[in-house]
Amino acid sequence: MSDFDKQLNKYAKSIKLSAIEKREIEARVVSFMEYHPRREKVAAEKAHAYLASQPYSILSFHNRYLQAALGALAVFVFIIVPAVAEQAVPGDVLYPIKVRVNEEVRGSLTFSPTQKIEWETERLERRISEVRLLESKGELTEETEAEAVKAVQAHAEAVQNGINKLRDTDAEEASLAEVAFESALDVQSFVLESDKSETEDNNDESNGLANVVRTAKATAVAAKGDVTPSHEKLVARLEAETTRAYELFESLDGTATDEEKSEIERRLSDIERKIKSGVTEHESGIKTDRLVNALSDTRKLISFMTDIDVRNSVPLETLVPIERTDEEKLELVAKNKAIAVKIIEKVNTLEDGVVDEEVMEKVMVGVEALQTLNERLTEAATQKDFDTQVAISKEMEVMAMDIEKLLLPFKTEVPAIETENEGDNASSTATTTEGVATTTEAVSTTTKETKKTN
Amino acid sequence: MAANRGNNVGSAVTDDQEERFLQAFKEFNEALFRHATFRLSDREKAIDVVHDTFTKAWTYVRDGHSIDTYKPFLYKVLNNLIIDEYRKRKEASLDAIFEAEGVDESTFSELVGDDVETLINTLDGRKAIAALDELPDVYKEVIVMRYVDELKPREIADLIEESENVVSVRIHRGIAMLKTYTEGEEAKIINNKNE
Repeated sequence: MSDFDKQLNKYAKSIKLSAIEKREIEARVVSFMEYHPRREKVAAEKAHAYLASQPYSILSFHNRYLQAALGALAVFVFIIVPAVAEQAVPGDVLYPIKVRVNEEVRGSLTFSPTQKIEWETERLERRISEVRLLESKGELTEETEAEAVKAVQAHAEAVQNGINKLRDTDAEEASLAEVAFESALDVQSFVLESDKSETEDNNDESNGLANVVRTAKATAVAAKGDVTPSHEKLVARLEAETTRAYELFESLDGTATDEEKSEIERRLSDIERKIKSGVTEHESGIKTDRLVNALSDTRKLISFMTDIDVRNSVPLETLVPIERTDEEKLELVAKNKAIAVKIIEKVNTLEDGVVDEEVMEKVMVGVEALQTLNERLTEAATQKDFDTQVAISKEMEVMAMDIEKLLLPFKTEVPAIETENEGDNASSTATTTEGVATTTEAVSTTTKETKKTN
Repeated sequence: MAANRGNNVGSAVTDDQEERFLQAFKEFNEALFRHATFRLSDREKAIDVVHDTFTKAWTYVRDGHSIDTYKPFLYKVLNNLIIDEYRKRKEASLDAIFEAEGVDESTFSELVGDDVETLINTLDGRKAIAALDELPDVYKEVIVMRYVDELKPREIADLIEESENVVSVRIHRGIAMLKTYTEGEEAKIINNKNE
């Protein structure tokens, strides 16, 4: 080795970091590493932190087969079971999973108060639907029914509490939620009523549910706030709901009959007209519930389209009666009026002694009432108040039919009038039947009073 | 508990990279420091560039790259940092003069005369070390690598991205310059004494 080598080597060896310098430089490098961890490591740590937060991560398995088995088990437990449980009804093994796991998890994923209210409403509808399914199969036990009643009560209370709470923060939104909830309860009432009318048994199982729904509706109406949603908010909500309704209508192909589709289409155009009238009224400074009604109708129509159970149980006319156009209203008025005119004509042409005196007295009271109604009808016609005209004409029709009824025992002498009841459908028949009782009572009272006067 | 598990898993993923890096730190920090001290003649600056060398190496690893052999990698990074340091200093030294002369380093002609060993044997060790600072860095660089870091010409060639021939020429020329310098200094001293 040369002198240069030796000296350089010696000198080089004398150049070294002191222990402090070494520690310092090491600390700086390690610190840099800590502040700039490897990206893969960060990702891995994040992934592990997530896994570590899961209860099953306390197990650390390295066996590939075991891992695969655990994976399959996880898929079964967390995906297949909940999916199958969704179809469960009370009494099924998986029913508790549906109610206590699936629904609770879904509920915990709703963040806005409105969403929570809607979800509780849906749960209420689910419970009713389950009971009806069991009932149709003849598998509904008293115990199951009692549990369902409790559950429906609980969901109704949850909705009501949600609305009350929402009212404190957003009264307008709460009032919209009220409309939606009441619509849902109306639909369920109709569904349960349809069961009742089918079985004609007042102690029927679903009667308990019907009572709960009625009570919930009464509570909802009583708890209603004073605030009504602003016009803008109502119109915006209607826009959203009608858009949804149209989308659902478009997707009905194959799942609804042509008749159902035409009925739904009719209701959609009715709702459109209602909205248009509501907006015009608002612009003219007239306060009406037309837009709120339109919203309620839209919700009911959506229920009809989305819930096969509702569609199979309740006629659409019951759920959302047809809203007649002005022309249709005038047509109906004319028809009802014609019936009244015919009956008056018939009475006027009756020969003395054909009809029993006491009955004739009642008939005359009826005719007088018809004439009074006719005067009111003329007055309403001058004011172009179509709704009042329809209401009066219906009363006239009812009155005319009552008179006809009184004359029925003498039908050999007095031919029945032709009412041309062109199936102005089930709804008007239902109204009429109800009306008959009321009006008959009114006629009787008047007759009694007449007698007293005499 | 969860944090520990997280660390364990993190370590499992990166153990290899981290451990190899830390091992390289332990193994080369002293040598790199020595090299930097020779080249920069500034202890504090040498510490800084060594630190920067390791942080740059770690950044490379952090970005997902893998370093197969740390030694050449670290020397290369260190060398680049030292060059940067020189640029900062903008020293108009002999380096610049030689560069201006455009010396052709790619010939063997200089190696035909006295070989490097002969030249080294005639050098006064201590004086030559003192003269190192007077050398342009291109020569100082290879001489430090060859005699301080004890790298082979081929390794040096890889590090500075030159051919082995160029490295050999530079070593030869650097030693010759040291000899000239030390002899010149010696002559100066004798002359001064005579005067």
